[in-house]
Amino acid sequence: MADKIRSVLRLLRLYARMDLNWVLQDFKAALIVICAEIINNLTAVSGILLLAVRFGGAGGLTADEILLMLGFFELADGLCYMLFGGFNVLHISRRIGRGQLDHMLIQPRPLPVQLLTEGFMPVSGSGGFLIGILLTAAAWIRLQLAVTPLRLFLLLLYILCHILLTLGQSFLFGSAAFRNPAAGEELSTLILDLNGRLGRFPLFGLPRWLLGLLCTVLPVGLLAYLPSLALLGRLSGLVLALPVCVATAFALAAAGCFRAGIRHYLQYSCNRYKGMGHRS
Amino acid sequence: MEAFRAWRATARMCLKEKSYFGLANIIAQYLLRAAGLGALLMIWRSLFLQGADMQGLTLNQVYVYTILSTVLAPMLDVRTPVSGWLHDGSVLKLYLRPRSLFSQLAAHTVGGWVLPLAVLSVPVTVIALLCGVDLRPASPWFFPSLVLTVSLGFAVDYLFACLLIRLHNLEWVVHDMRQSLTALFTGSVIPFAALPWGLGRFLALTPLGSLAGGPLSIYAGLADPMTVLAAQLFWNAVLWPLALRRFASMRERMVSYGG
Repeated sequence: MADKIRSVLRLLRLYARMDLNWVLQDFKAALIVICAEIINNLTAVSGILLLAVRFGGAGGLTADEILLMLGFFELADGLCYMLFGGFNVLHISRRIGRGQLDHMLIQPRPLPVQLLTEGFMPVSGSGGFLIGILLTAAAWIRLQLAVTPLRLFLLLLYILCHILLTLGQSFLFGSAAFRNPAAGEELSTLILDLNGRLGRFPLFGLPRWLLGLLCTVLPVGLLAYLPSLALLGRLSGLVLALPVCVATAFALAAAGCFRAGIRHYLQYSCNRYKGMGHRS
Repeated sequence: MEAFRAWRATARMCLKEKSYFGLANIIAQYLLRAAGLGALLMIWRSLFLQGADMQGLTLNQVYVYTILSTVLAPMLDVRTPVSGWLHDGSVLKLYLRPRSLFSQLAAHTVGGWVLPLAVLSVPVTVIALLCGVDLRPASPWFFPSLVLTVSLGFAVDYLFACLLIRLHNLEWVVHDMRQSLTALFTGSVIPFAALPWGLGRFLALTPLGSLAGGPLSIYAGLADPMTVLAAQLFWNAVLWPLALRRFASMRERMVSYGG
């Protein structure tokens, strides 16, 4: 076990160095990529934040509470992107649909270890994460929230849930690409786009059935809205455990579907694969 | 007539190409957009329910604005396939055909509008009407404004293609950046009239602000049509020559992957 952990850490270090090398080799391109990512993240939060500022809040939250929600989303999503954004690990349906899984299967490393490490981009992919830290800290100070062990524990727990939910959904829906490579190639992108678009919205005022749907089957409400309510101390009891339960369920379902997909892939491979590693 | 037939055939080809990724992909794409629209409508509703001072905006106006921004999305933010084709090398095939580059790109773009208009726009319009939203335009000046928006959209798209060539095919970077900038600065998501600190008045006069925000504001009765049309005419007159000149000079720098 210790050997495995050491191996994972060594690979993470290796990918971090490769990411840094890319920045150093083509500094101009890297700067453009990093700036673009920062602009993307800032504009993504600006819309709803500007509305909240203009109208003194939105969706049952004040402007500062909205800032906390958006900060949490950027923080958790940025961390997820930084850890798994490289080489389309997060957009796994692209790798599967293009037949590029073959590249991974011939590596002398177990597939889970590769998936766990090769998306790591601590330099070029950290823009969203850093903005998330800044926004969360700013909101935390403006709201004068006390830093208690429980609050910090909830923050870390919900960040982990956000990552599990994002990966779980991407791998769960992306596994369809094992059977329908062309049709399924962009399924992970679609689900991630949906999360990005709806995950930043406060869901107050929705009918109960819709709120239930958005916190379970299509859990965009668990990505930032419900965690930020918990951090603000507006939730108590069993509902606090909802993100953990749903994230675990998605992770387990994704693991099962991905394993079944791999079995199918090992038998039939992908008919879109070309020698050049590109899709047909 | 012959030229128009060829143009229409290209547009039809592009429509068929849109279904290449299969039914699952198409349904998921449009469900995603419908979900985004639903969420935004809910936000507006909750703002009105919580009694926020909407400073003259009515709920029907913001509903109309938001629904129209989804219904007319392909025309309000024109995306020709040139960026993707620059990246994968397909753009070369356009130079081998006996048609001008711009007319081919326009045909492909217009062909690509048919599916979203049929699959998303028509159902959304019908549902909105059934729900009692008054979708009549506040001014007939909306129609010339929409034409100017489409024209300006093509010019802006060619300028983004030039940027892509200049940045040596960082396609996803340019794509993501454009996606974010257009969402906020074109007024396609939030009406300029709803932005704080008078930001909307400034953005409405910019080239990006003359895209979606212009015709939508006229349609919903949120802006003076003459001011919007003047800004659109001005930016068309400025950006078209610029786009054509930049594209001609950037052609020498084109480098593509694939082929």
